[in-house]
Amino acid sequence: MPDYAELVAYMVRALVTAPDQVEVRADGGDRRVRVEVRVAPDDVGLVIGRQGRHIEAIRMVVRSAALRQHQQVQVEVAE
Amino acid sequence: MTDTPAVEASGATVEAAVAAACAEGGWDPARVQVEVLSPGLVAVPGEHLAARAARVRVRPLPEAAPRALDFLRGLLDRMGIEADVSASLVAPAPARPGGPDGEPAPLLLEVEGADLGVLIGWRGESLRALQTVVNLALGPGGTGGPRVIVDVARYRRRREEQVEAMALRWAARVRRTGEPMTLDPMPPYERRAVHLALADAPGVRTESAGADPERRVTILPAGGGEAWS
Repeated sequence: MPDYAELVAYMVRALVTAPDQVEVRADGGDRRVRVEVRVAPDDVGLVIGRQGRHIEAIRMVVRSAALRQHQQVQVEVAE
Repeated sequence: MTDTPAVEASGATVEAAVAAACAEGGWDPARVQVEVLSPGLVAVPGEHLAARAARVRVRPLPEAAPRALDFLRGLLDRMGIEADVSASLVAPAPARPGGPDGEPAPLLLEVEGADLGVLIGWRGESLRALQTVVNLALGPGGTGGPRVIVDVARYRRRREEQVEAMALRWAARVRRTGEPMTLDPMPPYERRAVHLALADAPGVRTESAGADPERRVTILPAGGGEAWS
């Protein structure tokens, strides 16, 4: 199964201005995984995007990866 | 109009022709798109070799091409998806009124592999997300449009062909009835396919209205739908 924390970190690090301050944690079981992303305060807006466009794209990519494993993955940005 | 410099060159083999074209253009052979115009020497068992020169047309890929390829390959790898990714230039759109001028042709990243339905998603929504993420990773380009177009298993190409065929049928209906027809909301590249398909169609014109993702194309009788006034 994909390492969802690594997948999310890969996308978020490529996007933010302070990639070294990106922290991603995943918890959960076989079916449901919750991924929490922490970024530098100035990068929160960038990760979310206008009308949530950026975070929705990131969520959709994670959902595509999880679909094959029959898993549900929730991605949240800590504010 | 998009004007990507291209160099044509000949050589004993395709490789030699590409090398010659790259030398002339001053490009890195790893960062060009090659169009083979003539494959040159082809060995046919039991027959003589025809001593023909290979001829190629070579265009440089955008500066961001290696980075875009690396990023998308790394992303698919982390998604647990095995696929091949190749880069080329999007065929330049014919010049159209009101279209962006002098905009560099976007880079096309094509993903090919088995069982890639999850990368396409419902009506291409996963595909569009993939494209958004790749463009975000590359950072803003000079122009407003996306720098990279992502296609999976030729989904976009097939959709464009379908939309073009439908556009021609809808146009015929608008001509027959004289009434404008507003289509379902479509993503930008499908709307573009409708506009392009009907750019030279007699008796109709097209307009887009609304904001994405609800933006819709309307096909109108040429002359502004005044058939009834």
